[in-house]
Formats: sequence, C-alpha cells, structure tokens
Amino acid sequence: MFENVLVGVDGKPNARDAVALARRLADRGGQLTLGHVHRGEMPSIELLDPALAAAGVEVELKSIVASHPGAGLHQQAERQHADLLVVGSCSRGLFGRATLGDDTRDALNGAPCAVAVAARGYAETSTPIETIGVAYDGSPESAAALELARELAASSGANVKALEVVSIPSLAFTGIVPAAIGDSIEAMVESAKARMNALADVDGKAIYGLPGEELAAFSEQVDLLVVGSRGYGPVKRLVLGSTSNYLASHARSSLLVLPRLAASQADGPEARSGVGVGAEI
Amino acid sequence: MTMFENVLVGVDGSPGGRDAVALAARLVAPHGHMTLAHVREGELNPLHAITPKLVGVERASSQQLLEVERAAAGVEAELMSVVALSPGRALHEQAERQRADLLVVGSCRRGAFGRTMLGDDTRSALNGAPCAVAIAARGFAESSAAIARIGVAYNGSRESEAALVAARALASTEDASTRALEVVSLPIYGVGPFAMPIVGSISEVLERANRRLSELQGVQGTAVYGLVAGEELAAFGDELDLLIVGSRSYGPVKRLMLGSTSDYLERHARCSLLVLPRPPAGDTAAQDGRTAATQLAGV
Repeated sequence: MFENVLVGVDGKPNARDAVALARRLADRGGQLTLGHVHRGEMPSIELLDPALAAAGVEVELKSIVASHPGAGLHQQAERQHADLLVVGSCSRGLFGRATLGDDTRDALNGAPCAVAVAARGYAETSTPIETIGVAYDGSPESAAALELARELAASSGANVKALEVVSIPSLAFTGIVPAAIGDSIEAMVESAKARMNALADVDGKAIYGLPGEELAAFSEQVDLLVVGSRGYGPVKRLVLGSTSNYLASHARSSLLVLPRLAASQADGPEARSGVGVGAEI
Repeated sequence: MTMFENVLVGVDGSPGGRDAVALAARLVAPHGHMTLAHVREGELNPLHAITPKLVGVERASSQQLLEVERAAAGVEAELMSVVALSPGRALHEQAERQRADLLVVGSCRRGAFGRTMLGDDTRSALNGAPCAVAIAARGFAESSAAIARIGVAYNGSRESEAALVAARALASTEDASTRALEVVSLPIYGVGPFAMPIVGSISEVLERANRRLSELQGVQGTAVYGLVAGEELAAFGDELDLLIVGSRSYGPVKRLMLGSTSDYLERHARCSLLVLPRPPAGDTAAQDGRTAATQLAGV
C-alpha cells in the first residue's frame, strides 16, 4: 500500500474522484497531501477548502506554482518523495473511464512514483473496490503489479482478476518462450492459461490480441486496473510504454500504473533482456 | 571542435535508415565512433524458432544488409545485428549498453517527404533514452549532404541554453547559419527564470523576447506568439536543415523525456530533429552551458 500520497485537486468534480480513489489506496496512517497547481495568481488554499471538506480526512494542503498542473504535480511528487500520485480524469473523458489530457500525460511520464488515474464519476459511484484487475505477462513489472493487487485486495476484501494478453511480441519479451511456440496461437494461449491458472487466489485469463486494446476492454469488468510500466529506461520511474500510454486514455476503470523496479528488485538486466536482445557480429 | 563521440544508428535497409546514416555522418565527431545497428527477430519469431535454418539465413542477410548500407554511405562504422522484436526498444537498450551519446533513427515510412515522423511504438521506445536522439527527415540522404541552416528552440531555460550551445558548436564545423526561435505564449511567463507579472500586451512580451534574442551572439533570433509551441517550431523547420531542441526540464536527468512540445515535433517537424537529454541538475544555467560546451567541444 501507499504511505505518502499526493492528490491533484482543482475544485472540479474530477478532483473529487481523485481524492476518493486516493483514500482507498492510501495506507491507514499514511500521509495524504492535496496539491493545487496554479500559476501564482490566486490564493489557492481557499479553493482547496471544499475539496478538504469533501475528503473528510486529515490531509495536508499544498499550493504549487507551476506552468501546468501535470508539471507541478510531477515536481511536487519528487519534492515530497511521494510513493503515489493520484489525478482525476480529464473533463472531456467519458463517465466511468480514465482519460488523461495530452499535456498531463506527457507531464506524468517519467514520474518518480506510481500514478493512479481515477475514472470519471468515481467519487459519486463510490463503491468500495470489489474487483482488482492486473495486467500480467510474467515480467518482473507485472509480478510486482500482481503482488500489489493482492495486497490491496487483502485490505479491502476485493478479489483479483488477471489477464495475460498473448501477442507474439509480449510472449518473447517476458522470457517465457513455451516449447510449443511454433504450434499455433491456440497453443500459445493454452500455455498462457496454464500459467495463469497456477497463480494462487487469482482469477486468471489469457487471450490473444493487442495488449492495450484487450486490457482496456478487460478493465470494464474491474474497479481498478493495475499495470506495471515499461521494463526498460530509467529505473524507479514511471515511463509510459505504448500499452500504458494507450490505457491512460482508454481504460474503462480507474487505472494504477507502477514505476519500473530498481534493477536489484527485478531479475537483473541480463535475465530480462537475455531473450529479447542478443548482439552479434 | 568536435561533436558526438559515440553514435548509434538504426538501419533496416529502408530509405529512412539511409537518411539516418547520412544525418549521423554530419553529427559524429571526426574521430568519433559510429555503430550501425540492424534489429532482426531471430529465434523470437515463432516461424524461425521451429525452422532453425531460417535464423541462420536471417543472420547472414542482416550482416549483408549492414555491409551494403555502410558501403553505400561510405562511412566508417562498426556493424551490429541485434535480436529483438521491437526496433525502438532494441536501440534504446543498445544505446544504454554502449553508452552512446547520440542515437539516430530515420522517419517512419508513413511520414511526408522532408518531414520527421516516428511511429507510436518507436516514439514510446525512445522516450526515456539515455542520450540525445536525432530523427532524420524523410529524403535527407538524397536532398542535401550539408547542414547549412540550423535552428534552435529557445526560451531562456537551461535546456534551451544547452541546445543553443550545441547549435553553435555544430554550426562552426558545418559552416552553417544559426537561427533561434522563441515561441511566446503567455503561460510560460508565470514560471521559470523570467517569472514576471503579466503586464501590458502580447506585443510588449514579444518585444521583450526579441530584445533577449538580439543579445544572443552570432544568432539570428525571432520571437513569435503562438499558443502551441510545437506547431510554431514545426513550421519554423520549413526554413531549416536541422532543428535542435532540449527535452523537458523536469523528471530524470541525463534522460530524454518527451514533453508535449518534443513529442509533437517528433511527428511534425519539417526538417531533421535533434532532441537533447535533460542536463544534469544542480548546475546554474551558465555552468550548464559551459558543461555542454565542453562536452560538445571535447575539451
């Protein structure tokens, strides 16, 4: 769970969604900070009062001066060493979906912590999180996502569903190349299913398709979708790869993206890239 | 004066790859090291996995492709055949391994002639890269061997100062002219080194930007007003052979993180594009400029 949570608020309903989600994800006794980003032209603490009342919890208020909300929140997360940053959806987004605006998505890219995007209307529907979905592909990042989902489920009494999307690239990147890879897509899906069934306490499924699209469709059945971020690039940072980037604008539930593991927490760079990359000549 | 010392270039036998080699040849230092990398699927392709002979065939043709590309470009370069399914990811990881200071790729085939265009997956893969990334405009190899007109996106930030230093260094070796464009949009003025209350009109702000630009030595500076910096900079590319921009000013240092402007330019620049990684933190703007200058000058 998360100990040091920063929530972006701006007085709009979407911000209330973010606060509601943050309360679900924060550890009991964890620190919750509401941050309002502005360009230095308004006494923003006053604006935060309604958000504070709505939150109904002990929180710290922070007024942040920056050119853009995403940039300000990113920088504040670095300053306060937050382990989670929660934002609401863009107001153009559809009800029940997570949607980030382009600028905010770019600004959160490279963030030093996990980022959660509350689906629009989360605060009103405000059901407890009953079903948590995990994008699983056997990589260290997805294993960490599964572990966190189990932890969240244990504390909220939710159940965990996991989906492995089999596309030829994702299989090869995980390092799990089944012996039967040449047989057929059906065989690949079957072996993925066997792998998913072996996961304890998890309702696992495997299908063939494009990971972003299939996971977006899968998210319809869950209250929160947890995904790892890309398995290369700067460690301990959340860098959007093509799948998490797609989900940040198409998920049909709230979305939680975890940063890349530090090298020591993963299997090590050799183990990860052993199958993916081998230089020759 | 020297430029990049350790340059990695992605080639795939397409014209885009040849554009990349041509651009890399302009950006590499005289005694710098160039590596041409071709990414192939190898045994990761299921068809290959069950037909081992195909892997050997692919390996041989990959090597041949690399040799042909090197000979065609007439450059000295190390050759490297990398096994991976995503070219962008493989180049990103290879750049980390060989500690490249520049990675050069061509534009995606769907792009328009004379413009840069990266596919979605490649763009995602290069995001967070450990070095500068250059994208050759389509047709760069055929149209021009020289870089005569270099442009810099300038806004007074440390990142843009570093871009300016790189532009000057390159201009002196290429005998090119340097131009700087500052896109003034009001929100920028609320933060950063030029934080000031917004008083007066856009024309006053423009005038101030123009004055600042006129103080830059050896550079022809222009300031324009535009809501979206990316759009104005993309259009600026019409008059240039190479546009140099810094990457976003926050997030991991020494990494190239795409902000909204560089992200836009990767798909819309109308000339070749060079994006520099974020300079290390803790330096003042002046020190930072010197560091970048020293690195580029090889001093």
